[in-house]
Amino acid sequence: MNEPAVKVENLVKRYKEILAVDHLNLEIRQGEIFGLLGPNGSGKTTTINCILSLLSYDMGDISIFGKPMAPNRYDIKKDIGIIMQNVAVFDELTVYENIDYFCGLYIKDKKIRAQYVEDAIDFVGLNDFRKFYPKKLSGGLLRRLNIACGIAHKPKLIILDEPTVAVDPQSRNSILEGIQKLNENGATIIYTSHYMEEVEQICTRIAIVDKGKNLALGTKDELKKLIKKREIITIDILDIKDSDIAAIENLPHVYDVTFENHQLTILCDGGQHNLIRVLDYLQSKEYSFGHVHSELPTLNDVFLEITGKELRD
Amino acid sequence: MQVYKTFFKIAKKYLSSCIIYFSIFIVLLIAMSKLGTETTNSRFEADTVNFAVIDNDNTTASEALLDYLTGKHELVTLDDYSNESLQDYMYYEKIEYVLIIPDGYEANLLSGKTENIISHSMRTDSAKGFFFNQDVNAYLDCLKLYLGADYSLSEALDATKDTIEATADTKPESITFEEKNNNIVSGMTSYFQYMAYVMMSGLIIAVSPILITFHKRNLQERLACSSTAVRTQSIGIGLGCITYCIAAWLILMVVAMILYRPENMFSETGLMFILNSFVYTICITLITLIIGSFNLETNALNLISNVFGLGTSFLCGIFVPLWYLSDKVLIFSQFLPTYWYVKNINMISGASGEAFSKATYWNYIGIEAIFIAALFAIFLLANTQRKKKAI
Ligand SMILES: Nc1ncnc2c1ncn2[C@@H]1O[C@H](COP(=O)(O)OP(=O)(O)O)[C@@H](O)[C@H]1O
Ligand SMILES: [Mg+2]
Repeated sequence: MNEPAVKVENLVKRYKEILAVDHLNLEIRQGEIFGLLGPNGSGKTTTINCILSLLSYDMGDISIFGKPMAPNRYDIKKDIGIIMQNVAVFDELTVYENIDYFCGLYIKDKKIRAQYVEDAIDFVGLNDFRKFYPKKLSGGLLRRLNIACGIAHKPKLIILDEPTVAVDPQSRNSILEGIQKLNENGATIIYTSHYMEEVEQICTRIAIVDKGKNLALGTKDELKKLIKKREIITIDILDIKDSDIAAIENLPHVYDVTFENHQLTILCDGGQHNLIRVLDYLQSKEYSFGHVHSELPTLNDVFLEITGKELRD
Repeated sequence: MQVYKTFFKIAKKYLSSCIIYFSIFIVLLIAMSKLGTETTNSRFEADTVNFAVIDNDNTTASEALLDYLTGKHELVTLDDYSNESLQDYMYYEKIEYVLIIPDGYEANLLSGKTENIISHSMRTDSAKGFFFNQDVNAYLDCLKLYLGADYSLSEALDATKDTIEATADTKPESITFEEKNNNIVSGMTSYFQYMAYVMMSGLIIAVSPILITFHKRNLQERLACSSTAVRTQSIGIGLGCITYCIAAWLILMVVAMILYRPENMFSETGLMFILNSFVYTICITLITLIIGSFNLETNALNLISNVFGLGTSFLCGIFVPLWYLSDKVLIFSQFLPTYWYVKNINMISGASGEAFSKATYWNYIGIEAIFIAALFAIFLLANTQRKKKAI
């Protein structure tokens, strides 16, 4: 059982002129929450669709739980649940009927199915709304229904493609918690997003993609180690002598110091107690200072450093 | 069958529009069957045809023929017998039929020549001329029979007159009988004709949205990822669609049974109507499936339903009898299955004056079957296109 949940080797997908996925490699381990992080248009959805055999691709190999994936591998598909960015439910069916329908495409046994549908309704907390039609549900509830439809058959691998786009913060948090709960119950999760906070919050390992390429892969700490900038210290200060700026620059781990608008910014490339050393020095020179702030790097910084552009949209 | 059952759960949501069409149909039908009776009555009066004669033979034989025809129809004497004015008279419906007895008519009869011994011209769009023609032919056939049996000319003419009049004498009895029957046949004719409109509009409106729902792009992804084969799902949907259409047809048949009584529906004529409408229902099912293959908005769908329903109804003789439509329109109409469906109904009931024959009936059914094959091919094509597009 140590086969990877998903293995993507050298995947290439072209839409006529556009190279959407460019020799992409991924290995997703069983039991992890794997984040696929990249800006809009970076090829996340295309990659997912290739993994699911919804799209044909130009080159590459994809295997799921050790078996090569193909459009007619229903034995593999039965273990996969998908939740796409757009809500995909029948407007003409009630909450219960919708979940039952999608579950029925996987589970033929009526008794088991009835139980599974109940479990799914419980899981997303739609018990009071089972007779509602989707049109009558609020945005957040609709998302929950969408998720219930994707996971009711208890898949071993759950793929979520930007499930939180255009969702209010409260629903977003409950969705993220739900995903973690599904993972605790044993499912492997693939989660794509262009919000790095989300990915940072829940994913065990993360791949950063841009222009269809896998730029970096690892845990968030591993990724952050990839970049030089480890800590940013900002200090409000009225004025400071150039000789003192040069002295701070010579402190251990400090590699850049700037002073602008009464604000001193110090960039450090690792190590510990950087802030204390800086403050000790300033006190020894009898500077008085105001607001002090120390910031650790985010995935956005990682992205910025790897691609030279901001991740945020 | 999960998909099949869900088809009908969704169908419930669109049932109301179907019921509206059904109600409109019943109202139309009652109105139309009243109008239908009126046309039947006027047809009996119309049995007398205004005709003119150009007799270039002026023999005993030609006079006997005229004698017979004037007894049944209205001989109109005209001021001008030139070709042009004859056309005018016909155009303004002063006369319906011009009988031309060429020189040598009697001589031809005696020498045993039977083909083309007289000629005529008539309004092509009028059933009246057709009836007149039948009378002429009946007379000539009879006369030829006696002449062929070696009667002398005068004997043959007398015998023909007697025979023809004898047949005419039995008519009054049979007319009352036929009239009663005719009312039901004309009622059924209207019913089956208008049914084509209701089925076309109603089913497109009620069934296509269900198909479109299943084909919505978002859903399609989820459905295609599932462990139930896409083919299995499509079969479930297709079967649902077919069941729906056939159920609608069955209901209309039951209503027809109530309106026209089972013994009439199960008569030969009735069964021909029923089979014809069944074959046509399959055509409509396929049209519905094809329209459902495209991702249409509700508005577009309503538009298409109306265009198809009303358009074909006008083009194919449901609202306006086929014989009132211009030849150019008819050329186009021939490419629509409804045209053949309606044509068949008119042929069976005799409303168009087209001679009834079983062979023609099966020909028309055959043409409808060809449409079914063509529509099925289009359906398959539309579906592969849709699947390609979805990916
Ligand atoms: N059906 C398509 N036809 C042509 N180009 C497409 C199609 N789908 C996506 N693309 C292009 O492929 C690239 C990757 O898109 P996508 O996988 O949707 O990115 P993401 O999901 O990361 O936002 C984009 O440049 C997009 O414009
Ligand atoms: Mg996307």
